[in-house]
Amino acid sequence: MQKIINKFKFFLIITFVFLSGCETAKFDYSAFKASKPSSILVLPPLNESVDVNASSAVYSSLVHPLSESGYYVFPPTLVMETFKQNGLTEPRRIHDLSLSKLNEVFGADAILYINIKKYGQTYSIITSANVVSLEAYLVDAKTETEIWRGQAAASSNENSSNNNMGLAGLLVTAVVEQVAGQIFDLGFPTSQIANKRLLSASVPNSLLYGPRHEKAGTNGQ
Amino acid sequence: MICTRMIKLGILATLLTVLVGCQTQTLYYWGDYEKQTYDYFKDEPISELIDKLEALKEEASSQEKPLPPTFYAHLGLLYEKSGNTNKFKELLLQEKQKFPESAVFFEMFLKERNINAKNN
Repeated sequence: MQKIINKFKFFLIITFVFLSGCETAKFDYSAFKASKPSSILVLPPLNESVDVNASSAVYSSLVHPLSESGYYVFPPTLVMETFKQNGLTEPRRIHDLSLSKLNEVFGADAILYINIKKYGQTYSIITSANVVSLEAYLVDAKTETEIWRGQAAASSNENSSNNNMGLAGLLVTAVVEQVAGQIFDLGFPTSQIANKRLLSASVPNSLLYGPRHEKAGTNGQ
Repeated sequence: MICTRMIKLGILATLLTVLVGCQTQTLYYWGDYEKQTYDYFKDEPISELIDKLEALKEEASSQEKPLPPTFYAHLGLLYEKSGNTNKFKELLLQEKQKFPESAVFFEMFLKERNINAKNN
């Protein structure tokens, strides 16, 4: 009996360790709470990677997490169209636009600036993966104050840990993953995961829930 | 021994329940809408994109959830690209009505198109 109780205690401890692993240092949301944005304009993401698809893959996969967090998101395709009609196609130049100019055209409560640090297929001898790594900050459009900042990354091989394979097997896997990553355009699904981690209010230290969500003004599960 | 297995199973079941509980319901009906926007950026033929989005709209009408922000405006843009400016204006008004946060931006579009319509 004692043995069983000991085992039970052990599992309880493991469970607590597992659950408390979710706790991380809290982001200071005071500026965010004072600003209370309800609409977010995301500017075309800056691309530091060499992959030309990066900006559109990331730009088209952020409407979901932002909307589901309770915000109105300006349609990326119409925003792009507007900049294009005004002769602006370079994200770098668009990020340099003054807030007063952006306010005049869009009337958004907050502006989200995203920087793509890494995007695409990385190849190494043991494994190959599709990686997306993002940084972002959110600015109150009226006061010009930065109200939030965060970063997140995702990799296509997070779920495939092949520990029991010999070196030859690993090499084959690496080549297959490399080729598959290019054929199936893994950049888009990987961007979707990275964007959810970066912008979904259910993730600790991400945005607060917006007014269209019942948990408005809070963060986390 | 059987007893410990039961306890293990019990704890596993509890953990699973906790994790499943974390999955929240969505506010909007998405289908493969995100992929559709990505395909637009990759220059897929406009007429095919319109067909797919109209099918998605049809699908959504039998759901209890509304279509997400940007959907009507994006579909409108596709129509304008295929020469149907009236449909674009109509869809912009729909998006504006559902999401008044977009008013400033879309009024600019509407104003431009109304001026063009008068001049022609």
